Amino acid sequence: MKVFKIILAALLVILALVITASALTTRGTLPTLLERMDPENLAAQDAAMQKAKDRVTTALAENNPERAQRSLDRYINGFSAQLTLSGRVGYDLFFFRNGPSMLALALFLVVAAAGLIAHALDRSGRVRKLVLPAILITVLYVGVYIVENIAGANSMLMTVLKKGAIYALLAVSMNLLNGFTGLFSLGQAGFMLIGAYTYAIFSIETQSRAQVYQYYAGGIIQFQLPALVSIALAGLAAALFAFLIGWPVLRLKSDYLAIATLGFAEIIRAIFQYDGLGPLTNGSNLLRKFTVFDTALFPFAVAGVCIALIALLIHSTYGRSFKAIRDDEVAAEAMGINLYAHKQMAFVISSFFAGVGGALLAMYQTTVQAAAFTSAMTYEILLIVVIGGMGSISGSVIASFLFVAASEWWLRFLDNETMLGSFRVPLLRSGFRMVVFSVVIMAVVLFYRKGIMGDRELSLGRFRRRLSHRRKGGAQDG
Amino acid sequence: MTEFISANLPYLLAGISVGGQYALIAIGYTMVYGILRLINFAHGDIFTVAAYCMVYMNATMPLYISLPLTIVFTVALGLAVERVAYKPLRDAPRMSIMISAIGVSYLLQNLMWYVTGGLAQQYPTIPWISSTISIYTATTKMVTLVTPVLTLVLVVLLVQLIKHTKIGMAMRAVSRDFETSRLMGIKINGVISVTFAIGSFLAAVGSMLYFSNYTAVTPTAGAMPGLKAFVAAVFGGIGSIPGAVIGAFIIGIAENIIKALGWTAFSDAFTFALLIVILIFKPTGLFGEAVHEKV
Amino acid sequence: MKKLIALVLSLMLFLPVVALGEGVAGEIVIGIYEPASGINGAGGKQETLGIYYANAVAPTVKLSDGIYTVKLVEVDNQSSNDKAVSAATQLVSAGASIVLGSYGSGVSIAAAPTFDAAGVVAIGVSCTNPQVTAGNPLYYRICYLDPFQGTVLANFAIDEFSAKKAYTLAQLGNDYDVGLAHYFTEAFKARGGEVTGETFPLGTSDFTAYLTKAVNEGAQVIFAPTSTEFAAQIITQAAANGIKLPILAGDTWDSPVILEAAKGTDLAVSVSTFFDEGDTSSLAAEFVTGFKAWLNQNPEKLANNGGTDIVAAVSALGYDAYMVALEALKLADSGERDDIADIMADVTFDGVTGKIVFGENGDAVRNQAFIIKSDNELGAWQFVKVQSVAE
Repeated sequence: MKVFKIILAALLVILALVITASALTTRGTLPTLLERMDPENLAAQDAAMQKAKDRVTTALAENNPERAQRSLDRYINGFSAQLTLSGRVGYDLFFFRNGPSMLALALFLVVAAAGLIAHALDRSGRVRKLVLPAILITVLYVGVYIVENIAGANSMLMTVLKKGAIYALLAVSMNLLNGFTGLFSLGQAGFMLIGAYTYAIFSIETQSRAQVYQYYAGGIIQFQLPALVSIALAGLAAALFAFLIGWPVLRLKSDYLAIATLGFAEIIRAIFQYDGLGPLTNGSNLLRKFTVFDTALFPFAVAGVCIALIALLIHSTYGRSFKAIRDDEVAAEAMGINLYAHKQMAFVISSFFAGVGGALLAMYQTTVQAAAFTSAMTYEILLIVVIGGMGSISGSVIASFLFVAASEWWLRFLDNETMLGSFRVPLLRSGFRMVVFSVVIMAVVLFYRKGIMGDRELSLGRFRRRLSHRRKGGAQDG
Repeated sequence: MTEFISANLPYLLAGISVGGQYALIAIGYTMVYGILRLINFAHGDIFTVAAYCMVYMNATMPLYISLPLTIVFTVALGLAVERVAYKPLRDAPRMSIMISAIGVSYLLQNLMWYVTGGLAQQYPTIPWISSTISIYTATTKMVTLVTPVLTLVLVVLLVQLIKHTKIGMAMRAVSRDFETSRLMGIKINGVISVTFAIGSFLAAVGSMLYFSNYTAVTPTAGAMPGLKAFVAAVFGGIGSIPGAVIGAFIIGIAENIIKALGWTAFSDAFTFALLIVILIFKPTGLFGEAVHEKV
Repeated sequence: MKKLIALVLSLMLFLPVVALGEGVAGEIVIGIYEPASGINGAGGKQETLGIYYANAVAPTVKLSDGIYTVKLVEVDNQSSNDKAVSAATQLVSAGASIVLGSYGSGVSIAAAPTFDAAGVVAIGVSCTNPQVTAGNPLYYRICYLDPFQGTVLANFAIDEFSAKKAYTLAQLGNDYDVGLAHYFTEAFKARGGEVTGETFPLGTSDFTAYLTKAVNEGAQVIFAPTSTEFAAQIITQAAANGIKLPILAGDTWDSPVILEAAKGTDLAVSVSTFFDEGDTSSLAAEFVTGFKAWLNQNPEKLANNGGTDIVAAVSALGYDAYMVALEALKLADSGERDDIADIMADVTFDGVTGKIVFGENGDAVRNQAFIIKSDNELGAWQFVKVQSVAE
């Protein structure tokens, strides 16, 4: 058994090596590939074909890889009859077109092989436990990457995935406060705003500043920081602000806390729109031309790391103290938990991640403007937390993707007037989507109060146990 | 001096009239909070629905029918929201009811967006109160003068109702101690319904006055006045009706003074800053009673 | 069980990948990126009407390999910058060869990077802020720009009302408002005038304080280049408060909403615009009669135009934008995005709003604006003059 596993692992590694080698050797070989696809130079006799071929070379010369890719697709689709696309050329072409995805696949194979070996050699079982999660995480990231390469970065699917990942982080950070610590805060949009602006301000290209800050003589900041540094600054700025307002605000109870944080979010919005701060914030005008991500892996990676950090925090002693405060403040205090310090900590950390999420949202939107960060945005994230389950990280993550996919994509058809034959489907017109959507949300809030996950987490162990339990149950029935 | 007055009279008039309109909304907030300890986030949207009702009904009916019908419809809506969204959660944690309120607000806004197509609608002109008059050097609409008077009349009536009728007594009892009054045989649900009915009635009246002045109705038009009215309720001491009214007038006037000073960007922010200051230094507001947390 | 459902639903995220494809052969998709709701909804609808009318006039385009029908795909950007990305993505994934829009500069600026990344040419119809095209190589525009419009209006204010002092009122965070107010102020000051100005936040309904301020500061003209939703309130409140100052605004105010609000008042409202309904040139006259007849056929269309058959300038621009897009398709002889991008700068067209030639940054070269004023008795626009900067 052990031998089989090791042999299988070795095969996987070899496969991975072959894939990597093929992908790497075909990189940048488009000009030669073009010749090999058309060995007899049929294009010389066919003007349309020559034009299509030239488009590819022009795009290459312009150093525009996306356009080269599009032109290549057109060339191949349009003239597949004349072109040599089988055998060795086809193989190389496949690897050329899917190079990045294939590299990602190879990575996955290596991880799977490593998992198999660990499974075979590890006796204590300690490493074994980590194998499955490691593989699942690799599958997730590799999957996202491959899907992105197939569907295209601008497809609706990728838009939903990107926004979903960002909302997942925002929802989890809000859940840390509302679900785990029991502090009903409605300041999320304010902290996101601080994060988004801090990020944007520090990462606008220096040469574009004059254009962006056109009413403020180019603004006062004339340098550009790397994206990750700016994101960290965004989180820190939001955290700092939370630290400052934490002192007055956290002494308030439940709904007073909610309304006070809501108030602060509104005040922040007014301050960022203030003309006097224009050289820094561009007044109330759009900020744009800052660094954005070009692959969905970026928000997935940043949000993933942040959510993992929050999960670690919740499983630490601090996390247990948070839950104690949520369940009974007086009892928690009696047990020696410093109420104020712990609330402050949860508030500041949650705001840090809200700031990071705001920065990611700015990158996703490619422009940022204070006017968009209204209390409606906070409510939206709060509703995600409720749908996912107050006190469940995995619930918030699942709910975020569902929420974004449903509101941006799946329910879109409700907004379009539809004819079935000559029958005009009633009710369907602009705005109906959001009505249906909010009715669903109300139903969750009223009848399904625990949300998708309640306060439990998605856990492989439980899933496996339940499966085996069901199997046993089934056997007994039979 | 005359110049100063003529320059600032319009601000003062605008402040007083908008203050009166906030007051009518704020009463709804403060009464509901007093009894259910619930910030009824949907109240501002009920206020907007009332405006849309008026817009649509007035298109087909004469004013003397559409006006009372709007009020009836708004009251019915307030009661329905309470029945559907708050009553099932009566024994749930307070956070759940508040979330439900946010959900209702979201639903109402989306519904209005759907029905109206998201475009601003012109509010119908109500004769007499929409007509213009001159006061000293300022010209304004009649509604500016009607609002504070009507507000005060309604408040006095309401206070009489609460002080001298049986239902008023029940309301006071419930707001003092929910559980005990339930044990004493007060029909809690009835009292809550009456509270919502009164709140919605005043919101409908407030909406008529408000939109006679500021005639564009959009699905989110009520959100800001709603929040400000809530701040007014907290400012005056939540649960206290005179407090809410005084708070509303202070906020309405202060807001316009801020605008007169040229700090227009901060006129909304100021309201919230005021709220936070009050919450920190006197959480019970100007006239509120101290509530002690029991273990 | 719950978890299972959640899991299945999450997996559904990945399903429809296959469904996304390019437009069907024999059909070319033109995307309409316009607001149908929100603060610019009314104007966006009129612009969209112009595009649909153009489509009714010219439903097909003839390329060298056959005749293609043009399919219009419309998406509502809700006048909101934060909805811009997903709205734009929708058009991109619907396979739009070229995109028209938007009414409102902010949403256009916000969507530009999305169109750019997908290689789609966008034609700005009535977004006048310079930032729409600056730095966005694939964004073109057929209307004039705010620096021009601001100067025109400043000149008009000085020449017509001999104003020495102006008061500007703009919506906070609205690129159109703030931009136009900025250029007006620059031009007005350059001719020795004095300007004070203020901005109001979204959701404002009380303009009395601002208007009072304008009077108190001794302004002789109010410049309020806002969206129509606020415009109606500014006019009614100015009338209610007995403010008699002339009010000036930009192209957004060329809308039935303004006429309705100003009707029966004694306010002088003057507006600069792209097109005059009374234009007697054959192209324009033909368009006006055709468009009116088309509108009057269908009550729904009439309602979208604000309930009247007055031809808004943005409808004329929408018509021209569609025609320019057809010209581009013909010149490129292809519905492919990249082909269109290559030739777009060379497209020219004799439109109903004048000759369209793309110049610097992909902006159409325009050197004149129409000034119209409201006739408060008839509830109609009255042509005042054609104003250009050189005067």
